[in-house]
Formats: sequence, structure tokens, C-alpha cells
Amino acid sequence: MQQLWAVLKKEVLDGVRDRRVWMVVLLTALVSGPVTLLLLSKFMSDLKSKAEAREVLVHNAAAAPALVNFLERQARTVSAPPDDVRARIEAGRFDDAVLMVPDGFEADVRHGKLVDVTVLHDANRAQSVTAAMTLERLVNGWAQELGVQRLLIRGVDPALLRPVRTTVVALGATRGNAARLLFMVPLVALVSAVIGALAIAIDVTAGERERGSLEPLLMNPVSAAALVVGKWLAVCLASLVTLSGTVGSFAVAGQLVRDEGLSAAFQFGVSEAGFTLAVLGPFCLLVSSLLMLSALFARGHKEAQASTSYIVSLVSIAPSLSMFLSLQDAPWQLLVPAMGQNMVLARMFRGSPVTLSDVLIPGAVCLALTAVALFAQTRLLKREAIVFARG
Amino acid sequence: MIRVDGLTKTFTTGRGGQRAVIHAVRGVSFTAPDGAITALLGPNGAGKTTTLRMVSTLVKPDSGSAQVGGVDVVTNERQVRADLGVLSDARGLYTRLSARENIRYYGELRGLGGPALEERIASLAHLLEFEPLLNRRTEGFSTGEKLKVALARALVHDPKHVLLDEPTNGLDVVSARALRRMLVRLKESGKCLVFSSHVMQEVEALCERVVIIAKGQTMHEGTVEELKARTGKTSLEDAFVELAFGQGV
Repeated sequence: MQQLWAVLKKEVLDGVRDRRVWMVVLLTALVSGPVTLLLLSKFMSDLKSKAEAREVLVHNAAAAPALVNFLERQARTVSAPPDDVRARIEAGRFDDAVLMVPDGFEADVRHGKLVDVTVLHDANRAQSVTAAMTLERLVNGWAQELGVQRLLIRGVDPALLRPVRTTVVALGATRGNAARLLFMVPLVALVSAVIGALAIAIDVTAGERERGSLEPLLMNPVSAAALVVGKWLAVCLASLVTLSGTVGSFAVAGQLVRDEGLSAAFQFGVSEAGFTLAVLGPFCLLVSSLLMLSALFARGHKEAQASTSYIVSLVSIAPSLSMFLSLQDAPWQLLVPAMGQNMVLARMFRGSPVTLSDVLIPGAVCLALTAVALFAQTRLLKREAIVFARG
Repeated sequence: MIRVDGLTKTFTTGRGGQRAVIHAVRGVSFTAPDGAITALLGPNGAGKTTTLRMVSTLVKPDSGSAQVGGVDVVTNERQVRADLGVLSDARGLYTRLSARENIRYYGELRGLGGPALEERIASLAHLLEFEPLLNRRTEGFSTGEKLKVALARALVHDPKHVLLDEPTNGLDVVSARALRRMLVRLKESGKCLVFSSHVMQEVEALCERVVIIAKGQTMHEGTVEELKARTGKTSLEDAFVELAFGQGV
């Protein structure tokens, strides 16, 4: 126990003095959280402000006075788009949509002809798409109004044209809409746990061999278990500090969010932060042990960075898998590290119920795998091929 | 006393078509008594480092045996490690730690601590003449300075047996002389010292006993004088060349 403490103390001191470790911890923890949230909130508020903008762009509005009158009755302001709007949209530099009215529109409508109008937008820009949908809805609204008037004049009940009426009722968790965007938050927290542990995990394994200190170290009468566990605890500490920093910075950033919808959805206070740490704590332990295990086979920092990059990639991909594969909340995901944590945290953000076993099962899986990874390392440290990096 | 009897060790390197078997040590035997310095003399690749690694329990011998102070290195490796101080080929200091912290770490791993450990560190720094460096980080230390810290680290628990792998490698004259003085002092305090080298004058000036290792085998074991007498040469170098490489080199 005294030896384990000596190893932990040394590795923490060594890590604290390693500028690379600090840079990563600080950058990840203090920057990623607020940046993610501010980007999200800006995105959301831009989206909403465009969606609810009172201004609509109509090209050749003079040709459609009745339509303009309808738009103004819907409390919209009709403006003319810039002259080069088509070029701008094509160049991807226009965040709005434009209604193109052909010449002679009003007369054609009056004569009962089928008239085509066009809505130009950029399918790659979310704001532009939303604006296009708004325009389409407005034009349809006017067309329907016109149609109803024509039917009434002919003495036909307009209801004949609408035999079915659809009412959309939302039953899911109330925070649903914003949670779709907040999937990034668990992802950033998961990755921060890995990034925080990375530099120090490599240093205590491959780094130890690269600087030639592993051989003298192993000549001390220390059990492999004390060495491995002491080093692992130091790595866990770095991982947990980074994670806590990231989670803390989310909590602070939550106070700065501009968008009302988002700040209402992103209820990230002390209890949510505590819950996130409880869910991700065991994950930090696992990631620390896995990074050490994979770096133990490397001859130096460079090799170790290559071999640990698989873990970094897996952790960043796993959460998106459940989204792309439409796994919804399939319970088996609880058994897969990173996916399980992501699922539980996503449920929390959505406001869906989370049971105790949702927290305990992924935690237990992480702890069991951690024990296996640590045990493997104690065995590997006794192998000459590992100590001297042969073959 | 360190007793080594018929040690052998084979390594395999590479995989598939690149696979190669290396007979690093094919039968090394020697005895290193207490209160004496025993030199392992041999050309590069003769098996000196592997032999020292087997004695220090890092590498398991394929056959043969070795005892440190009567304790077997295979069956009781923890005890052997506790009794040994090793200055390995790789000095391996932690560059972000000060000299003092480097030595303290090993002291703590060996169960030392408190004021006794600090006193021990101070006296080693005094003995090895690096007191002004004690609180500086070891990053940027010269080869000689690194060696002194690594040696102090190996001696922190005052071991009865000391193994040194080519300790004067890369040292300037002044540092090499300081190291030799230190080794003599250790010998006079009754310790058993084994060191590998290929510097003849050093071996001749320091060592009571010489073990010549070539191609993984012990070619000769005895005093410098016995060695010269056996080969009929007047210099240790000539005698060594004849025993290690055969006549006509």
C-alpha cells in the first residue's frame, strides 16, 4: 500500500509538471463545454429568429398585390431580395429563401389558371430550408383561402375537399426538441474523459520505456499490481479532473445561453452535473485502464499515440452509432461502454425517466472490464518481451 | 556474495520470415566475493548486460542458477531485488522531477521514508559530489550528472550487493575519477560490487577479479595477474584480446 501511494504520488507530481497534460485538461475542460453550448444556442436562436422572422423576401412583389396583401395580413413584412440573390444562394452565401413571382401572376390567378411560383433556397443551410418551408406554408395558406372562396361562390361546402383533418399531438418528453441538438453534450463529456487521460496514460507506460526508466523501476522490490494500480489511479485522476471541468463548464455555460428555448431545455444544474459525473465516473476508470493497456505495447510516444487513437475514435463514434442505426433506447446498449453512458445521459437531457439500473449496469460493466484490463497489465509487466519491447 | 552458475538465455526476435533466435548467453559462471570489485569484461554483444539482467531478476534464465547473498534469483526475486542496487544501462531518470525527487521515489518504493530517507539522500549527494544539483530538475543534466543521480538512486537503500552496467560510459575524466573513488569506498565498506566494462585501464586499476565473457560464455575468471600469467602477456588488453577473440587479432 505504501508503494502504491509512492507510485501514485510520483505520477501525479510528474503529470502536474507536464505542460502537455495541463494544456489538454484546461483546453478540453474550459473551452469545449462553453463553445459547444454557445454554438448550439447561436444555431438555435438563429434558426428560431429566421423561422419567426416577420420579413419575407418576394421577388417581383408588384405582380402579386393580392398575395402581398395576404402576407401582410399574416403580419409579415414583404421585402425585395437583393438583385444577385440566385448567385448568392448558389455560392452558399445566403441564409434565407426567396419567393419568385412571375409576371402577370395576378391576372393569371384571376382567370383561374394554374399558376406556378418558385421558392429558391439553399438545401445545405438549415436556416434557408426553414425559411423556404415558411414561404411554402404561407403561399399554400393563401391558395387555400382563395380556393375556399371560389367553392363558396359556387355553393359548394369546402369541407368536401378536406374529408380528413389531422391533429398532431406530442407525447414524448417535453424537452424533446432541444434534446435532439443536445446529443453533443454527452459526446463532448465522453470524449473529454478520454482526452484528459490520454497524455498521462501514454507517459506512464510507453513514455516510461522510451526514457529507459522502466527497467530500473522494475528492479525495485515492488509488486506489478502496486505499480499498475498506482499509475492507473494517477491516470484516472487526470480523466476525472478533465471530466469534472467539462461538466462544470457546461453548468456555467448553461447560465450564459442566449436562447430561451435552449436554456429551458438545458436544465443543467448541480444535480444534473452530479448525475453526469456518476454515470461517467466508472467510464473514466475504464478508459484510463484501456489507454494504459494499449500504450503498454508501444515502444514510444509516437507508437502509443497511434495505438490509443483507436480508443479515442471508438468513443467518439459509439454515441453516434445509436443515432445513425436508429437504435432508439435499446436496452442492450447499457452493456456497451460509451453507448450505455451516452444513452442514459441522452435520456436525462430529454427528460425521459432514468432508473437506478440504467446507471448501475453500465457502471458495473465498466468496473468489470477495468479489472480485466488492470490484471492483464500486471501479467504483461512480467513479460520480458514487454519490458524490453522486443519482437 | 554473488554466485552465477552456468546461466544460459535465448531470445527470439521478429516474426514470421524475420524470426531469429539469438543465443545471448550460452554458459556464464563466476563468483563475486564481498568486499571486492569484480569486473565483467567483454566485447560488445558478449552477453554482459543480459547476464546482469538475469542476476537482477529482470530476465529469467533458460538454465543455470544465480544467487545473490545466497538467495536464488528465480525463486525469490523480491528478496533479491531488495538486496541489490542496480545501475542499469538505461539510466532512466524522470526529467520533470528534481534529483532529490528521483532518489526519494526509489527510496519510498523500497519502504524508506521520513527524515531517515532525507538524511540518506543528503549524504549520498555529498558522497557523490552533486549537492548543488539536488533540487534541480534533471532535465538538461550532463551524462556525468545523470549518472551520479542514477547511482545515488541505486544506492539509496544501502544495498549489500551492487551491479553496475558500464558505469563510466560517456563520462569525462573528472567524473570517471570521482566514480572510481566512490566504487573503492563502497568496496572498502564490505560491499560486493560487479561491474561490466570494456575499458582496460579502469578494470586494471579497480578490480580484484576479472571475468572475461565472449560469445556468451565465461572464457576466464581470476585476478588480473592470473590472467596475464595464463596468457603470457604483460598488459591486460593483450591478455583480454587473446582470451576473448583468440590469437592473431
